[in-house]
Amino acid sequence: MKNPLRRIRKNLATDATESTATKVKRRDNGQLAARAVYRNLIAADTGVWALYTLENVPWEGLDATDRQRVMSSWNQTLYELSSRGRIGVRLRGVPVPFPLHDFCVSVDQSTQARRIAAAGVDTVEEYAETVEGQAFAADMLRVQDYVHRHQTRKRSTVLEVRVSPRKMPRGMSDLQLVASPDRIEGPYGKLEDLRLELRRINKIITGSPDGFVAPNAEPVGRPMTPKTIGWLIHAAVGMGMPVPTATLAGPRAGWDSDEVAGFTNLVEASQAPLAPTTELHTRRVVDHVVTTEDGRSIVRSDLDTLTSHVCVLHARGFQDRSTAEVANRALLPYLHHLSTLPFDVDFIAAGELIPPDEMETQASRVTSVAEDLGEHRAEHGMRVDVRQGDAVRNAMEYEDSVRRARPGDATRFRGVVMAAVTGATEAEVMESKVPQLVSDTRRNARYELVVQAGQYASYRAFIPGEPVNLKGSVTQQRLPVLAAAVPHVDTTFGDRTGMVLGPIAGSRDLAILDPHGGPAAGVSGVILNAGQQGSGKTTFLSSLAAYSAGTLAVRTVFSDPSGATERLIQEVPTLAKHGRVADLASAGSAQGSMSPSVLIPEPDRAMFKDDDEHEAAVESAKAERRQTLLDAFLLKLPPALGESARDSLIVAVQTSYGEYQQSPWEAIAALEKDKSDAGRHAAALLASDANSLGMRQLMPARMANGAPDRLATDLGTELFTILKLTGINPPAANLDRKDWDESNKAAMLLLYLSTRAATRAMYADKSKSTVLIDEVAMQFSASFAGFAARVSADSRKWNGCVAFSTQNPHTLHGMAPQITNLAGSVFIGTMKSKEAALAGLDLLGVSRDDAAFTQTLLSRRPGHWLARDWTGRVAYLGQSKDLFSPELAEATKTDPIDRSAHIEVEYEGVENR
Amino acid sequence: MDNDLKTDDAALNLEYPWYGPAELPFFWHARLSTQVYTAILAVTVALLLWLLIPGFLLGWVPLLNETAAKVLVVAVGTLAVAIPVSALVAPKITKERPISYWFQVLQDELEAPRKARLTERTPQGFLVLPEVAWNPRVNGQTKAMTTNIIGLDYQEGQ
Repeated sequence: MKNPLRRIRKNLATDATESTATKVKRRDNGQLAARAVYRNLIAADTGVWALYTLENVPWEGLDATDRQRVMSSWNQTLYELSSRGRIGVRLRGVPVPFPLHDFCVSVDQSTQARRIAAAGVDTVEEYAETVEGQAFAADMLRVQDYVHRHQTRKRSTVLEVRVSPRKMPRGMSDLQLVASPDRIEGPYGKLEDLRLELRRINKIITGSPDGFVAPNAEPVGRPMTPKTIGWLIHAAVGMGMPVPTATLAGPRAGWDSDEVAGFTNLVEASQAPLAPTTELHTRRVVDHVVTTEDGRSIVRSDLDTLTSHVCVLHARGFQDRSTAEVANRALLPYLHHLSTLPFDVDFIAAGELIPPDEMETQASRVTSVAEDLGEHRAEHGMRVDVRQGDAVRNAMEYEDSVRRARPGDATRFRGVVMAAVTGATEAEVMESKVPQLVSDTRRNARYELVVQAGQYASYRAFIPGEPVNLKGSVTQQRLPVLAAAVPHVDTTFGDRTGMVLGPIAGSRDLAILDPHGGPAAGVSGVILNAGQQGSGKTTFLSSLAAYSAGTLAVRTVFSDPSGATERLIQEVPTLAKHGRVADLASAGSAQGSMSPSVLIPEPDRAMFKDDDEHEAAVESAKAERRQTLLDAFLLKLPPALGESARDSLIVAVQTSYGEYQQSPWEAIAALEKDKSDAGRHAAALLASDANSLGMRQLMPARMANGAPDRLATDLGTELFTILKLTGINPPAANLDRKDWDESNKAAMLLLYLSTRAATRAMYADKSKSTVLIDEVAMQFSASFAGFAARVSADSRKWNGCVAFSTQNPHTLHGMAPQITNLAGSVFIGTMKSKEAALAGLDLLGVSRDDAAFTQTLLSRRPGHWLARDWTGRVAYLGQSKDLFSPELAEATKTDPIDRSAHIEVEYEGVENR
Repeated sequence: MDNDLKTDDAALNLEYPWYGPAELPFFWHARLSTQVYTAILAVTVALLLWLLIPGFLLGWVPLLNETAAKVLVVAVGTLAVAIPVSALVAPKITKERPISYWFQVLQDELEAPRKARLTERTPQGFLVLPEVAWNPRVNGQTKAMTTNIIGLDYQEGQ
């Protein structure tokens, strides 16, 4: 007797809404539906698919209106895809391993020459033996260890578009014809329609019919390559297992011991009857270096078995939501949400985009069913209850939205949304990850995820080109609803190479900051850093200093008035070797060492295109020297001196001062010759004050014969310099300037001059340099706005990174009205008051109305930053001390109570009792 | 707040129960299609019972001949099977998960590879991967290559 099930199977072996496709019979032998891959095309049994990786879109740093704009633009793309009729699409989110190899290699290669030169050796082998070499290797290992322990991932979103529902009979050769730029004629002319359709899709996604992205274009997505498609197939087939490096993007050479070495064997998938997971097994060859008895090191290869359990959940019960809720971040975009969990979640939204005219019949039927229902109830003497009323209203709204809405809003996505969770054991998946995923989804994205039977088939659906069961758990959504799922939100932060800061909230990626990424990206190299006391500013700057001087081996000056960071030189061996501490306020500091005529260097002709430009720069430097000296003198003079004395001072400085290395005594000499008594009086006051704190650093010793002396300074010439100002007494922030006493004035003057002294390091030459200025205090100086603007522009030209740090973001606002534009990157830490938090948001350039941002800044978590990177991406990130070397961690420990010691004492007490 | 992002699911998953004529409503709340499936099930069960139950065994029933007795038993048996089965199955079959979905799940479950069979290393359950021997750089030049792997023709684009 014939098996009756066979007939049923035969009849059901077609996907419900993929009905126009060639009937796809599921394979029993586990062979994939994908037959051939050419460029970004896959010829599969389900048709021909074109694959694109979606470009990430900014989200966090945008205000509600801009987020709505992102959604509408995504909506528009989807609409354009469906404008010719029904089209199959799949949105596939896949976690991508952190490119550790590329990262380590790029850091090594970009800094190697400088590091070797700084260590004073000639070869890489010699360098490896030095303190610096060992510290660098330890740093790289620490990053690798961190990435392993925290399972760091990036995320990629793939858009698969079905070019044709028909199977390609000749696989590869057909694909080559379809992808060709020339018209197809002759016996294969029937492929011409496909070629035109592919060009249309390419145009929508990449901006060019050929699928080549122009250098300055901003495409929706980029075509995948066979290599990345191969990677995606591997990642889907062996879900939850390491992905082979062979197919990973990026160079492979020299990275044999890569931690993401993949499987080389077949994947065995199995599923127990009605089990909630599919079990995957594979093997891979692992090389171990073992030492033999006679002391030789040999490589032994073992076959390692890998197991993974995959649970696929179907989305249903999408609750109503509003665009405003998603734009205000009250709700997460429902596909992006799946990437915010602390473990790997793959997702796929598979189905079709259906134009409204194809839905009209269905819409009318739904309405007539609803109306019929009401009539029936009435006929049976049953009241039309609220639910019934809702049903009729829903049906009518649906019909309305199909018939009368704009086509872009009325087009539907009809398909299934699935999420896949993996783990080493079924218990890990079902008892830990799935419950968390389900409850988080309910709370943050307002829909349900349910586990269904038929897990093996659902797992297969994640593989490109495989058929997807669209018979149940199907959701139908207007395009604006799917557009609000924004699967490709940008959750990365920072640069590809640089200092690893720590995790980024809402993703599993790492924040990386290249201190000189600003000039490289063509923006200012200024970093603004603000946060309350204890928010981690000094730790942030210290780590930046250690990275800059230690790993990058570039000239670094750290202006730290308190001198607390002196411990960096004491504790960190690499900094101790090349660093020095300059105490600018000490009695031993050279007289005149911070005179404006040496702090503001002479522009070098070689740095400018022509003489005119150089001349302009020379004049500008002179003007700045004058202005700095004037600021300093005016600060020291009593406010009661009167306007005429000020005017005389201004005239004297303007006429007699400004040259490089010129002594400020020449300005005082000019003032002494002033016609007015007030001017001469001012000159006498300044001359008598020349030995006081602050003025001593400004004024060199006066030459007895009156001849001008040429000044010089060696500040900032070493690889690492800490500028400290011990024993100064800055005024309280709220103290009015007229109430400052002499010590307050001296402190402000020294802070002001030390800022100038620190930035001097940038102007030595155009190689990279880093200037870190802690506790910026320059609210007294009108010229500081000009200084900030100049540093901002010069940091780009001179390849410098300049970080300004302060407790009060208002100070930074005071620096220059357009300070947000002058900054390349901004790091705002935790704040005590709402006003300060709002000022911090202004610096970041994000909306003040976003309550989530304000709450984040008020959350009092030290070492956490709401930050904007060089390219304008905004993210909330934490700086992890796990990435610090033990010495750096010790040097940046600012907690006055050593907690570990404290606990020990308590234990001792208990023991003694 | 205007909930402008609404799926069509509520409208599309509208249940369509058939109450029957006003004077004779159906016994329980069920979708029209479920009632049709119940009818199909009833006919199938009746047919099976008719074929399986030998008539001569029913000769002892008083007042009825063999055929009438068989009709009665088949009718009672059909109702006894079809009503509980459809009443149990009816709530499972919804607009969101129609009967075709359940057949698909049944098919998926039947076709899913089992671990026991994997140990015998039959082709069942092995996902044949594109085993790419990826070595694109030969003598410093990128080599366009085609590797014919089991089931997947792989070629680097131009």
